[in-house]
Amino acid sequence: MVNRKIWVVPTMRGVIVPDPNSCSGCGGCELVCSLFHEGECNPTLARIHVSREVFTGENTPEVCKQCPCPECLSACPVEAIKIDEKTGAIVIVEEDCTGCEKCMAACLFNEKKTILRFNPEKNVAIKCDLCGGEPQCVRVCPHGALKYVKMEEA
Amino acid sequence: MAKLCGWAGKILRVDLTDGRVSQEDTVRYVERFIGGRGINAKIAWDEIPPGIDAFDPENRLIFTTGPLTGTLAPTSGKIVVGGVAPQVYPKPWYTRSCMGGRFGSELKYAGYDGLILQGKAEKPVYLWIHDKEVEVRDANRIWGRDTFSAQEILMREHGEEVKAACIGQAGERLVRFAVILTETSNAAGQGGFGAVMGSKNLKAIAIRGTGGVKIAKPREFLNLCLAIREELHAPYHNAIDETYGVQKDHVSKYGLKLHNCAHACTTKCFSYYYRHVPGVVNPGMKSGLYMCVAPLFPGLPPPSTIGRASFYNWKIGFEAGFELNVISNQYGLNQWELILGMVPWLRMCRDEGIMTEMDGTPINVDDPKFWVTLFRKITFREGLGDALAEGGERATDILGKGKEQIRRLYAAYGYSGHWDGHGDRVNVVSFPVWIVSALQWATDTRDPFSSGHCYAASLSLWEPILSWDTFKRIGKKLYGSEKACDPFTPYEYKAQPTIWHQHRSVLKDSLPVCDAVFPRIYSKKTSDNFARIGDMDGPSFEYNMFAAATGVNMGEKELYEACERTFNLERALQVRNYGRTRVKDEEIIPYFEEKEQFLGPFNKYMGLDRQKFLQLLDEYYNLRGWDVKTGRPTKEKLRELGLNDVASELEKGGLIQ
Repeated sequence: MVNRKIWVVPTMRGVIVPDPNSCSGCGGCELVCSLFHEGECNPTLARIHVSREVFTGENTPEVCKQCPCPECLSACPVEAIKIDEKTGAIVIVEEDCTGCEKCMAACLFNEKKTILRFNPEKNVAIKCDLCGGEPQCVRVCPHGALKYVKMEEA
Repeated sequence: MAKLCGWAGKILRVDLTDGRVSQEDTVRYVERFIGGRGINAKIAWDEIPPGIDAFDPENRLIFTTGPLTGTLAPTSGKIVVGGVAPQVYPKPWYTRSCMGGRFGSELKYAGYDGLILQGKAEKPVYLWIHDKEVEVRDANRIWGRDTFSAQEILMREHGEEVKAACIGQAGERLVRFAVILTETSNAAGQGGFGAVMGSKNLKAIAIRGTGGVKIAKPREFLNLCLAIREELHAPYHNAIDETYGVQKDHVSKYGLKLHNCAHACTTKCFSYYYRHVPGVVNPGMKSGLYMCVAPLFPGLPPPSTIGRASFYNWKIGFEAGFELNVISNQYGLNQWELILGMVPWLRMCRDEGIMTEMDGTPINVDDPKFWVTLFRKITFREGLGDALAEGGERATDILGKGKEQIRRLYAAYGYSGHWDGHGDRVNVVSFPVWIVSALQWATDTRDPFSSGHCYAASLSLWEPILSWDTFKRIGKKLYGSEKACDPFTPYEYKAQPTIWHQHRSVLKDSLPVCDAVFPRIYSKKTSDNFARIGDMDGPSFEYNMFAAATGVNMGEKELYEACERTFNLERALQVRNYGRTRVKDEEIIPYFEEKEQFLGPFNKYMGLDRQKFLQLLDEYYNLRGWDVKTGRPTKEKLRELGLNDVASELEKGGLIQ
């Protein structure tokens, strides 16, 4: 487990916390994520990304931190980014998204464009929505490298 | 088929002689040959005529994935390589080898189910596949490099997400057991396909794919894969179920972590990544994957309880052993050939006074420096290494010595033993379990381990915790008779499990899924020890994943019939190109007639009974619908499997009745 403080703010009610040290790099999280959301197995359409360093063995899962002050949300010109009532996740409403990619640029952690991605087929930005409260990536991870931490438990 | 799910839809063909790139549809193959090994066999039948040598530019190097590659299906990140294989002895013939990692998945994401390479480039090149763009590029900067640095250079050039398969210096110099390697330790090892790449002047294939694999029934497939993942506890290594064999101090000392060798594999298997192990022969920290046969490099601890002769008890130690693992992967040498063949052979020759030195260096398998020198000499074909680079069998021919010792280690076709209780003295298999291994060896084109893992290996590894009564009960359910798993009926009812596993082996190499983990048979999680999820039996997992992913309207029986079709086509290719007959199959007998290495339930070292085995072979051919005298498929059988063109061609050539 990652040992660090997590800020508790009213909007942030749950987050996926990766533990790179336990990650075996199998990529199951990317595959289940794209399968769940897009109906296909496609790591480039996954809302979680495992950065693999083949020659040092370091595998780092990267996923939205569900920031308490989400830059993506503030940057959206059409208010397509909302806070999910049930989970507190910051979600993109695909129907409203115009595909301007401003959220992708605004996110502080999106340098590699792996936290917020772009789905060219649908012309929308995509990001982790915590699967409505049962994150599939956490379900699939064989080594406990992904934990879903809910604020009420924290 | 309206919309293709599972398969990407295209097979890429590159002629290295003129750099021509073309594509063809996968659809023409899929319903009859599924993917991977099946499609490979079909392409080989169509495109590799008799008389093609491994290093002939006209030889094909075929890479194919299957409908499950790149999907969530556990262990599916695998690719199958086929072509005329230089390791095969005495003459190269068509066979196959599989490779894990993420290379196969990336090929699918780029939009291709397979890749056919033909011709020969004028100068060293590599292939760069970026979705629809395919380029044959100059390999000046990576030729001569080891497999790790070649990949690093390609990743720097094309981005860190690139997946590359390449050859080391061994493949460049046509070492007959050179591998094609991806990442740090995933290799198409057996067969010497690295040398085929080298002969084509092809150093590497780098791929970046940004597409996906469409799934016919996403929710059903997702839930099924997750349920199967749950069921896959330690595969058949029940003994390491709790700790997975992790040596505790290696975690802090060497940065050990669990690492799945194939994309989408969620199995807690004994495949580890070591992040920092100090070098012993060469300074500096080494890192990489450590799995399969590599843990034999350090040597088994004395006193070895395994085997009559302690074959692998060299005193190398972990740190140097790990370094040998890394060096052999960097050169691109087949570790199985080194550890189960070459080194025990050299040691035998030394102990029996046949050969005591290698170009002035004493043969000393307890010295890691000797090993490193050996690897270098083989890779760069220096001195004695030039003969050794031809593989154990050919080396004895060239040197004119050590043939008798080779006989004890190499089972057939230039391959050293594997799960057979004889030449392979690390995997504990005893009489009568290895009778099935003998039948599998007799009728295959390489070491039959993807068949062997699941009869010989399963029974042997589960034996300490499951009773023979359980095996008999499950044997009846699977193969039709308790005798299939009854130690007191050694030569009865063994052709049936052999054929069953041969077809399942084709399935594993065609979908593809891991050959060690599947098919799921035994379990500790059910009261009757038969693997299942709900009312779905373990052996049906593969079919159900296939059906949910592809949505193809094909029954379970039809899928297994497709596997039988592939097996028969492979045999037909053997008949047409290499004149295979029953005589060749019987050549395996002397190897198994030798006394076994491990004591079994009879508490007596047993050897194969020739007469009884010949009867068993009769039974095998009869069950297969092959001619008992020649061991060749009959035209009726081939037609029954829809291989009418194959039957006609063989008949026209007077090869079958």
